[in-house]
Amino acid sequence: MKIIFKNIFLVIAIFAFTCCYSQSSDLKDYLKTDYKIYKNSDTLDIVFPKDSKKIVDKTVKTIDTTALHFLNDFDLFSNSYFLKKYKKLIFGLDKNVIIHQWSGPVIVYFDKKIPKPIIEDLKVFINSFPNIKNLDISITNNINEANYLFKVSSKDVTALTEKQLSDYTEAQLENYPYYKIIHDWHGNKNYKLYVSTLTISQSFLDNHTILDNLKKVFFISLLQAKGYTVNDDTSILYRKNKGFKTLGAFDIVMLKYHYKTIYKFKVDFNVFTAMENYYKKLNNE
Amino acid sequence: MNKSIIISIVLYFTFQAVYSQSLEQAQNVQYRISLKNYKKKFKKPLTSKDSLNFIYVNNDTLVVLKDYVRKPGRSVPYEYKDSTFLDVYKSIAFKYANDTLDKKSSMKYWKDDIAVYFSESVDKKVKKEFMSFAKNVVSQIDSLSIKEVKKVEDSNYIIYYNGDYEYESRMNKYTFSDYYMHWNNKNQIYKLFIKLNRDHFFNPTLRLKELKKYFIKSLGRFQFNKNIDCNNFFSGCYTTDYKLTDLDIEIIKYHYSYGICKGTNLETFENQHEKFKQALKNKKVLNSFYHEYE
Repeated sequence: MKIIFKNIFLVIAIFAFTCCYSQSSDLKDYLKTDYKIYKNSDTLDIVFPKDSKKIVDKTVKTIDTTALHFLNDFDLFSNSYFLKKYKKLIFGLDKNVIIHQWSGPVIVYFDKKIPKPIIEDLKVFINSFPNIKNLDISITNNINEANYLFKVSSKDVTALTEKQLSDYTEAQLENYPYYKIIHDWHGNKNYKLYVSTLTISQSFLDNHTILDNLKKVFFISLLQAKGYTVNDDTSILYRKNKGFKTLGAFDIVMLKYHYKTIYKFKVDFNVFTAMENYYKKLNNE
Repeated sequence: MNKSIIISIVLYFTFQAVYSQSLEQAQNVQYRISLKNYKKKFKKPLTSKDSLNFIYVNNDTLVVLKDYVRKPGRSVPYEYKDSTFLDVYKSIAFKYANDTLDKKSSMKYWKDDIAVYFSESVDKKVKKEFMSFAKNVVSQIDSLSIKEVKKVEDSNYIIYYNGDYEYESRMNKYTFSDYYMHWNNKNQIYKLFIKLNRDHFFNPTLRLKELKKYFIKSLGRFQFNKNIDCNNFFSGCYTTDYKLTDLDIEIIKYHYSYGICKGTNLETFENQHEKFKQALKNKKVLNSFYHEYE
């Protein structure tokens, strides 16, 4: 009997090790490789054209395994409530969504065509953001310093198709943040954002939902979230919340988790799940 | 020296120029070709008289080419690079198809010097700093130079914004920023257009940064390699300013080195390296590339 238990224990241990190892190996496939060139560090013997030695460079590559160290205390993975909400907000139902982040400061500029009361309200909203590690947001009066522009378009802009526009009621459309607002952005090949433009339809400036929708779009743009509603009444994305002046408690938590680390590699849903499993193995959950 | 040189592949025929160590075309040179390649090139039977010209070197039978007159050019020793470097170079200089490097894709390069024309709406600051950046990069490439020109007809590199005159009709409907490159049948780039969307890049700093990115990429239709460390430009991780690392510079320099055959496809590139490296390893022979002047 003892031997049977021993064998079962051994099989479980091997399975656990293999599982853990393979999950970290999966993640290692995403890590970046650094190439260092050592000048004139190798020698080749030459017979022709003349007996000589040719000095050449040597390239050495190393993999940056430190890029996974953050996982040791990535406590989002031990908070099932926020984890579930975060996944739903960021990925929605689309497993191909890739996490995007700002890796440098976000410097906001408001186009002069935006009415002053709207600008002032947005300034209050943005300035109310608490300190969030790796997310630095400021407002400038000089467009030349900015990388995030709020501007007005004389032509109507929308993220909706013609069919969607005709299928929904005006009330439904007004609650969709991208009904008359669009967000364009540019990111690099490491999924880091470096320039954004939030364009508002001029015809929408007088709409009673403008401020709520602008704040929602700005918040969503920082997360590059797939979702735009949240079932938590402490979020500005909660359907019933209107006329909010600041971010909600839930939203701050989302931003803190989103920017807890600036990923050095591509993180899509599968990688995120592998990270979650790896964290749980590390913490024996 | 005329910089307009075309590439003649010495490698394939294994010509060896002896009696002279000069890189320039020498007068008293004996050309030899391997028997196998002689048959391939001349496609005529060898006579017993021909066999008098056979030379045996390292178990190879070489035929001396008596009447061969090589076109004027320059012989450049093979530039050795280790396989680690070559792997990363290939991932940047050649194109991918379905997640693997396309063996038929070709490297592109500038043969003539680059003459940049800016459309009138390009900001002064952007022009000045772009040229300063570009000149600094190009100064590290022996066989290339760059200048700004005032007339569009004198240029081969045109930078303009959306809303300007449409210099490249194929980009007429582009709402995003991009570049359009023209090359000839030798994969030599001879014309390039960069069209920048100034609504997306809404200030000179952002425009300059984007133009610098396109400039480096357009030196060879380079691709980003997402697997290399983010410090390097060629990782595509740029966020703030572009600072080229040793690796970035080495890749650009190597791309313009005449110690490799230029304008080849990946398959040829790999075959050449394999042959040259084998010659180095097995026979300790450093072969050369012969580039004919145009």
